[in-house]
Amino acid sequence: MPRSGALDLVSLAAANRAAGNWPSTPALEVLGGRLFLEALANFEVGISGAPTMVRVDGLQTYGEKVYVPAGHRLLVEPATEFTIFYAAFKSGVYSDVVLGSASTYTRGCFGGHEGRAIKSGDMLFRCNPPAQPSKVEVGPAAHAPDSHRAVRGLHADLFPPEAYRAFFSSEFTISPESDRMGYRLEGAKLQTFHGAGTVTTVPVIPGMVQVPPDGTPIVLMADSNTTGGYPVIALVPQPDLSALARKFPTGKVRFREISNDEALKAQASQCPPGSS
Amino acid sequence: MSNVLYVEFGQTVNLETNAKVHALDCAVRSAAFPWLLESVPSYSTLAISFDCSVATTQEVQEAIRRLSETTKPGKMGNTAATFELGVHYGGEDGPDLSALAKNAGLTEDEAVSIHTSRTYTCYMLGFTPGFVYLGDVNDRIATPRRSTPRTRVQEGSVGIAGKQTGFYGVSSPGGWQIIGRLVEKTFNVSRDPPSVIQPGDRVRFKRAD
Repeated sequence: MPRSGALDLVSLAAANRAAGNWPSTPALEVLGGRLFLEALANFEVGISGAPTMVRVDGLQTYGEKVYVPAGHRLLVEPATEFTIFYAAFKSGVYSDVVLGSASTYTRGCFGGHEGRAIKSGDMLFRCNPPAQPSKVEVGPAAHAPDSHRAVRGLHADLFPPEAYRAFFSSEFTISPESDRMGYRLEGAKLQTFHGAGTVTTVPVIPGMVQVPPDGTPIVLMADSNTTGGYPVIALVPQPDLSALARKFPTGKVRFREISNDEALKAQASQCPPGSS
Repeated sequence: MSNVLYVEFGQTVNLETNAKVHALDCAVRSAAFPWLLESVPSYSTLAISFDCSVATTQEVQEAIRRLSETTKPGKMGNTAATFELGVHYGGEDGPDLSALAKNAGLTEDEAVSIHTSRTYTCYMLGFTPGFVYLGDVNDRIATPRRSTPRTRVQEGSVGIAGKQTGFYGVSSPGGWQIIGRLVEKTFNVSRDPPSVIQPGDRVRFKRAD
């Protein structure tokens, strides 16, 4: 079962923080579209992710937190070419909890919002605050960095120096065929030694970068396969993975190499002191 | 935040090595380590995801090493069940069957016959929910994965990748050579466990009309 959940954990946490929620409170992820809601009751919502234009009854509003009184309408739409954002309602949005998660896993048609994307006409409900927060990385507000940190991956010994030079110096473009399972990166093609196309299937996690025989790297995301047979060239730690996610659908991506220790420190710095 | 430790038992795919992986996986889950987030078995590797704010990599390595000294692998398939699964082979259900058979110097019927003539053992679950990895196929039909994965393989598809065979529990992208489709669903998230087939179980395929 994939971890599923938000592609951009940093922005989910930021939207929730703005709404006064725990960082991992169920919220809406909008990928490649806009959000248009009519309030049947007063609500407050925190918004984060790629930059958006927010309007209440047609009037533009500013700030991370928006108050929408009953009978009024909220429109949130992307303001740049990046089309991913989060809308977190105070106390959270009601979700089906399956296997302990409120995430929507659309491939399996279960969890979250009836196992599917929200469509026009749907009603959304607030829920009671969750009993205790679950573990998630929390970080600084959204921005689009020039490069993303990455550490050499599980199958580093299968890739020659040229492949790593290409990986750490090229500018890739996220392919429009990308989705919640993985972001395909168009640009330099990467080759293993001896053209070794596949490896014995091993468990993989979001953030790992797999290279199929055609040489196109794929960054595994929240809904990714849990095991895979393509060589893993690198691992992108949080919060860099969230920042990369924020460049949906066709953002430019560069990587810079860090060591294993630096990757651990990067992840450690994401947790506020005292949290589990 | 988490880190992952990989425990490797060997480089080759065989039932003996796989049994060791599953034995340690069981032992890790039962030990109730406070740092354990997840333990994921595969062919010859166990991936242990741990909370690195609770333990260091060295501490986890040491705990796993001690545990593995006292863990005895059972024989895979000792208490396992045997399943016979109906498959619609070829055509739209098996778009890669024709090319696979041709490359192997076989007719489609011969390739299907070879696929259905063996009893396979489930090595692991993984990839996407309900995906079952089985081994090993006859060398005559063993075929590498597609060089570019398909963006959509439908739920229930039966495929071959190298010496592995298996099937998809949900629709997803996929790189396996698809030769047919299961007649019945084998994955239901509400079931406990959700996958009908579990590691160690034996599976035979049967051609359905």
